[in-house]
Amino acid sequence: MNGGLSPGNPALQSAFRTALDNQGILALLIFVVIAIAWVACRELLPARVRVHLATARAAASAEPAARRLLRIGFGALWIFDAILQAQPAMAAGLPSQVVAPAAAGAPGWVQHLVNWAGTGWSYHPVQAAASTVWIQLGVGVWLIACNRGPWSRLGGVASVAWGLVVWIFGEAFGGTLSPGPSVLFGAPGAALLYCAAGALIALPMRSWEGDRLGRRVLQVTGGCLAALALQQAWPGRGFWQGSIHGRPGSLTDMIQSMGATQQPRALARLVTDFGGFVAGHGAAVNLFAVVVLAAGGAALLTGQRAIIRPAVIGLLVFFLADWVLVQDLGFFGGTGTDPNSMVPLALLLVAAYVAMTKAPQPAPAGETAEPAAPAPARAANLGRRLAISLGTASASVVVALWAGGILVLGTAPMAAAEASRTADPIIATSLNGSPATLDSRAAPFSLTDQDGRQVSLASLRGKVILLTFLDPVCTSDCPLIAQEFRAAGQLLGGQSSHVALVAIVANPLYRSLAYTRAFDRQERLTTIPDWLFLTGTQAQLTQVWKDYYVTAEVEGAGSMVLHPDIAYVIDARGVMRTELNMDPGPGSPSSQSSFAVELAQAAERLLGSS
Amino acid sequence: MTGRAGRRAGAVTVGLGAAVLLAACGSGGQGTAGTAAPPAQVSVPMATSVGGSGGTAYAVVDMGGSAADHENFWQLFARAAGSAAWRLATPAGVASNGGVVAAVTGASSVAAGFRPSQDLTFSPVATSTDSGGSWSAGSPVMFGLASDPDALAAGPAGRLIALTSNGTVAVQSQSQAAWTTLATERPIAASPAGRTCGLTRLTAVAFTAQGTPMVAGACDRTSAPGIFAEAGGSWSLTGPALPSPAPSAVLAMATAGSVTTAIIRTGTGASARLVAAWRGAAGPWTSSAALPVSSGSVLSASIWPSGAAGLVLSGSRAALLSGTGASWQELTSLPAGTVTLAPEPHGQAEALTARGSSFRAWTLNSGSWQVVQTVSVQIPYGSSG
Repeated sequence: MNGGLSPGNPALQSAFRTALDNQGILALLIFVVIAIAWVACRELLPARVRVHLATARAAASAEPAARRLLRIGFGALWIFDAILQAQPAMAAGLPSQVVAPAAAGAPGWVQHLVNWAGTGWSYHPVQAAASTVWIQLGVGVWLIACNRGPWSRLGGVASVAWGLVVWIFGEAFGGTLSPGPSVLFGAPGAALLYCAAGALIALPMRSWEGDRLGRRVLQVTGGCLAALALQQAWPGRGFWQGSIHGRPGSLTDMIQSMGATQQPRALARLVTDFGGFVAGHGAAVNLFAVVVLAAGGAALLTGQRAIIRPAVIGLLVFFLADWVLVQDLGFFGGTGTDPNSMVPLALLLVAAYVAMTKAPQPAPAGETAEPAAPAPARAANLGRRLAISLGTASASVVVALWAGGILVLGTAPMAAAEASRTADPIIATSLNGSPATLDSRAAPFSLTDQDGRQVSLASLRGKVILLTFLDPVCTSDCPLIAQEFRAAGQLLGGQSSHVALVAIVANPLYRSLAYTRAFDRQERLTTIPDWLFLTGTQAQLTQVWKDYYVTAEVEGAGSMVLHPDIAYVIDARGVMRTELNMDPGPGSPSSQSSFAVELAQAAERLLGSS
Repeated sequence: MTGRAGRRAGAVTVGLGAAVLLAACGSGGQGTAGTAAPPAQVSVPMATSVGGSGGTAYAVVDMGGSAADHENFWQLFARAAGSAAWRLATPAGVASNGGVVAAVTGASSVAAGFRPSQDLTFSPVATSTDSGGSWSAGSPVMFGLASDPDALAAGPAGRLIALTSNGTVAVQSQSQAAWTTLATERPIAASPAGRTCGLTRLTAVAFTAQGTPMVAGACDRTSAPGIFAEAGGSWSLTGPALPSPAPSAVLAMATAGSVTTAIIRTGTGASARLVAAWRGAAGPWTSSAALPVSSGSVLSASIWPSGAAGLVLSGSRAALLSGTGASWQELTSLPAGTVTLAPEPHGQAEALTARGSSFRAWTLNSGSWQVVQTVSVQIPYGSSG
């Protein structure tokens, strides 16, 4: 059995790159079409309307600095995350290297939920990975481009929605439900901070007037930091020990594992050295962290500027140190999905401080809203009304429209893929390569099926044959391949009566009907109408193996019989048309489904051409 | 307190409350597990040896690497009558990672059943008529053999009886071409005999010398050990009287020649004892004196012809019985890594060790164990992955 789908699988990486390229061209096309439509619609507007719009926009009040910081900062973070999601190893690596470790140790229902999402991803790795790239890019562009009005607030809602998806399914609730979460490692999850920022951006513009919002956000942040300090101080979680009986404590272990990630050498050395320091001074480092978090949190809770200012500065320095020395910037290693929690936390903190200290004064009602265009005279029909609406839209709204288009570009293929219960055949191809095309007459055989009836190749003429070789006492690959054949028969549905699913025994010793029947019972193949498990005398089988390039090597000392995992697709005229490498790899539900789809598609192609 | 200060105090209170609440989240609380008494040992590991009445001996041992990685490979060794040398006799063509159960079917014939592993759920069976020199496929046991060294046994004319992992007792047809279900654990436990002893689990099967099917198991009542014989479709208790009433478990049971031997563990903890019981072709059961084992465990139990037996106990100890009616002979300081004992041609016992690819036979010479043979096995690492 091969080792399964590795994140570095070239076929999968190539398919991912191709999907990104194709969808990138589509994204550009969407932009060009929207831009042309916008320019054209603007030309339709009377000159006085255009002048009015320009004047009104110039007169509109500026966006509060704190909101701008949040919007642009988190927009940039989403775009950066999209770039990270476009790393080649993401398609195969995210479920096993990001999602599964995040859920490790979490309660069963969390693991179940996360595994459900991981399974969905692993059934369609290319679509899922590409969708994630475009969705995050779309949210980021939307946030940056749109600075006011309902479109801008909607961008905040999009950030909350996608952030929640990432927080729940990608970060397993940010590790908050796992034993021993630590703010130093990333709790309560970077995506939750993206949600918080999105929620603030989605607030009505009047919420930013005065210092109330900034103060409240600082107090909530202070409360959370105090809670996280308490968690960090909680005994029994290994935070107070740099090493425990010669083994690294929690903090040391985290830093050492981060230091081992592939990254620039200087950074690795810095992190590793700090890990060594923590190993020797674990209690002191944790005490420092607890004190800074608790003191910083308490200072923020006071709501007094004079206390908050030095606290914010101190916390920012602490966040930076933790980001570099503990979180190791968060995004190295090929499957890093974001820069972890300290950057968004720092952004939130600064934005809240700015909101409190540089709050705009209340503006007259209506001044902060997107300036309305003069009502078009008697808009005759829907098309014209839409054209006028587009023509009066600002450039930022147009970019937001494009961002919405990118979101659709990301979600539509994933939604379509998820609607399918079968896995993408790219998984099978990635595991074993593309099927080989053949064009040679299949060698005749005459063997005995599981019911004792003689079956020859000639007797199957008129049917497409999916043929493989199975050892009835095999413990690993053969049962998986049998299930893939069974699933292929189910996928063929009504066409299955035109297809024969045939296996020939690949064990010279355990080849009696008792064994083919036992195997069929084990694999629940007895109810599959077109399933044939053929056997014969040793001489008969040896001849068939030779004709079909199969070897069945009997090894001693408790080894299975070694034989190749292959399948042939034979057309209705008895011509071998395709050879598939059937090594089932990890035997995961997604890989099994993928092989079944590949088999069914190979049969369908021949059925369609006959 | 001003309204503003009050709000601030409220916010602080809420924040600190949230702090405590959040801090409590994710704490890895330790459950307070109960301190129940350790259960009585109801089975022994699969490593064992069996002897044919003609002098041939077979040993089953686990070799190779990690069972978790399917890198362990159970091996069957055979030592022909009159020979002092073991040779590898594992039947080819089946992965042996799940375990091998051997049953002597005649003077030089033997059957080997393979326990399921990975996705294989039934047990292939191989038979040999030349002491394991060559093998042919027998009929497979559906549901898979139980994880007990006496889950497969032979009766007169080589007919097999099997105990499967779901508690089914199956017997071969007279032609030995197919299996039929003789009984299942639950009806036996629910029968008057089963209720009398409080049968909790079956652990061994055998035929009597006359060909009557027998099953044995663990009982949680003190009235009698759980040895049952079948007659006319019903099961009756047929074990010996125990020296002192206690819950019991039959760790091994086999018929060799005309003698059926059972190794019974009675009691738990410090009062645990081992008792051997014998039954001749027609006579009643007799039993040995009790061997105290305290809290130690039996690592291997082997029954040989004429009522002889050899047990490997924890702490590098061993206990031997030379035959029907004999007393326990205790041995200490077994060679490190001893997995089972085997009958030695001259009436003594050999200690067998198996580590990685090396199988060694040791004999006791002038009070110390000495290696008399080493067999290096080409372990097929990676073949079951």
